[in-house]
Amino acid sequence: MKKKVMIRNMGKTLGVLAVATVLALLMDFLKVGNESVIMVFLLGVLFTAVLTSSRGWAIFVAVLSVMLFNFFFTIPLYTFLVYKPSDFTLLVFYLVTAIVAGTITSRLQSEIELSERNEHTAVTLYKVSSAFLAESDEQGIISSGEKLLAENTGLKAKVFLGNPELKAEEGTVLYDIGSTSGRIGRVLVSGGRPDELQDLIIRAVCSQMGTALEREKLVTEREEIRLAMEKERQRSMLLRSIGHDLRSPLTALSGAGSLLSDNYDRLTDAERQKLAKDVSEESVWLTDLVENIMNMTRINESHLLLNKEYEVIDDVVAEAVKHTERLFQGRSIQVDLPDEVLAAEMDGKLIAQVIVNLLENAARHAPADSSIRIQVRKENQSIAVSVMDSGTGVPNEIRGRLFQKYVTQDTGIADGRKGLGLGLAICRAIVEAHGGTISYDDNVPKGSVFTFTIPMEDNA
Amino acid sequence: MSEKGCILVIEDDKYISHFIDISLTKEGYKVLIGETADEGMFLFTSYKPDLVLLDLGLPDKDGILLLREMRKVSEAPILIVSARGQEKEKINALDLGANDYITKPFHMGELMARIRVAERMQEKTAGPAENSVFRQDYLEVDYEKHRVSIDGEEVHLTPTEYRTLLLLIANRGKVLTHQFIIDKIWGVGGGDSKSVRVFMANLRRKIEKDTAHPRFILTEVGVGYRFADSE
Repeated sequence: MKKKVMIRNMGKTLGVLAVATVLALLMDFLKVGNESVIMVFLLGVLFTAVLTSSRGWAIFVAVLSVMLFNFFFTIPLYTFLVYKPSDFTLLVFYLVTAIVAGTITSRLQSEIELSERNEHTAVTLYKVSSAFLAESDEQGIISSGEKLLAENTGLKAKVFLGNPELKAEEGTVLYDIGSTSGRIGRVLVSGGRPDELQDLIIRAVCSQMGTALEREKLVTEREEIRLAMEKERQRSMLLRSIGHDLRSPLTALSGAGSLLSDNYDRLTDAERQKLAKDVSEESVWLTDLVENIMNMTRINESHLLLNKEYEVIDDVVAEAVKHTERLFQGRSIQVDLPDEVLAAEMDGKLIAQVIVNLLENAARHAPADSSIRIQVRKENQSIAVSVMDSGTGVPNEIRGRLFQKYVTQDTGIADGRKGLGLGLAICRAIVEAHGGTISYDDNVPKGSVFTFTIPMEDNA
Repeated sequence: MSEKGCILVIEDDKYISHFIDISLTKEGYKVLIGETADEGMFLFTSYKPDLVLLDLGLPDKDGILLLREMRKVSEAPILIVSARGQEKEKINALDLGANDYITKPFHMGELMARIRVAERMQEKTAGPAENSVFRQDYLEVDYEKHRVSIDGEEVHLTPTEYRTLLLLIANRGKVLTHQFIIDKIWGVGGGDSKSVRVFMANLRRKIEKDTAHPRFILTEVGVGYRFADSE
């Protein structure tokens, strides 16, 4: 590196000297006086000082030009001797002037260069520090860091997060990415040993990257905490509402049970049978509730684990109908299935649960003599399943929030049992996890239609 | 009623084993209760029960391991009792030689039906060949003429469909996993669970009057199919 500069400066110097000499000879030929000719050499010294920014070279030119002047222009010509005292003084003054001027110029020049370089460095550092502000994820920070390094140092850089085993091979240098909690990664720079400036930039990039990564980590952590808190809040809400809903059937169960065991002899056969039947029915209801709660916790945890298999929709609908038939004592469920066998990747149990929830809703909200219909059809590349009833429909107030958690219709339930208000929220979560949609419409002339879709695999 | 066999119930929940005990005893069975896997295995080897009800969630050992051990020494029917949503475990248990399963919570009637099916399958392996005509509800299968009819009217089934129907009827009341059906009908490695599902849906369309309320081919979602048992 140094050698190259030296050779380049040497070239510049000799060039300047040659030009100056030729010019001087030309002027001499035109009979211009020695005092003027020597100015050409002075100019040469200044040029050298500017071009090389080095005091040494300027002095070197000054000395050499004295000798050249002596050789070419002072009498006796073409010797290194001086006869005339005026020539001698000229030479001495020239030398002093040239050295002083050269020194000052070269210093000025190198200061200009330094300040230019400083300015460039400052700009680069500013770029480095602002580059990471816009990045909002780890990968973005890493790639923009690598890009910055490549652009501003011309060296190849590769970022490794964590604490990998890395060795600096021939021609590569390792830098640490630090943060307040110690080293969080390393940068492997290859393509040559970085000079002072490159080193400065690399260090700056590393430290900015460390800060950015740490900030990113903090943001992620805060977001996680927020999510965890939200989850916790939902969980406690769920627990509260479960506790509330479990209490009444449990009271009924334990009441009927203790009545049976304590007063068995005093009860009539019919009473005993009625109590036993109550126990059995109540526990079925509890079972369903538990099933929904289990699904809900599955949904809350880890974004719903789907157990997808290729299922024919007939099977799933039949399963749901089988499960809910007891709710519709006397009422029939009419099922319209298309002739074509429709099948899709789905979690059969969960989709059945969706239909069960919709059917239970219908059973709860539609009058005893109304009919319930399930319609399955192919819609675009999806299976669309509609559950229709001819009940009262959904009141306007809760339509917008229908598929949210804990939304219930407060009025019109004879036995005061409200349900968790989880049914439709579960439906939505399940359907959306399958990439489908769920929607509500009014039935004609009255009642409601809940429709959900499940995308079929595109076999084309 | 007196000549009913001995049933071993391996179940750690006292309430469940209690009501199973009462109902089975009422039906005339002799009932043994094991609360742990070790106790169950001890009772199994010493009393050689005619049928086992095995809960998969035991405190001391995985029910699947117990199933394996029992299958090593005996061919007695084993019914698995498991919680909902454990389809993989059910399939696993069936593949390991369990005869059937029942999902908690269950009705006693359901359990009795499964027990009867398991008993019948057991007798049949030793008993005489079936009649030449199978009749259930509006479905009639004439084995000699290879004729399937609904309400007396012949329906056309492909040879594969016919064979599948026979397989289902032969195992009626018992759940058959998708894999079992594939292996029996298409041969090992011959089909996938996608095609067997579509195939069954089509078969059902031919022999069921109302496919949403199937009378014959019942789906056990996530596990397989069961041919309805008339008894």
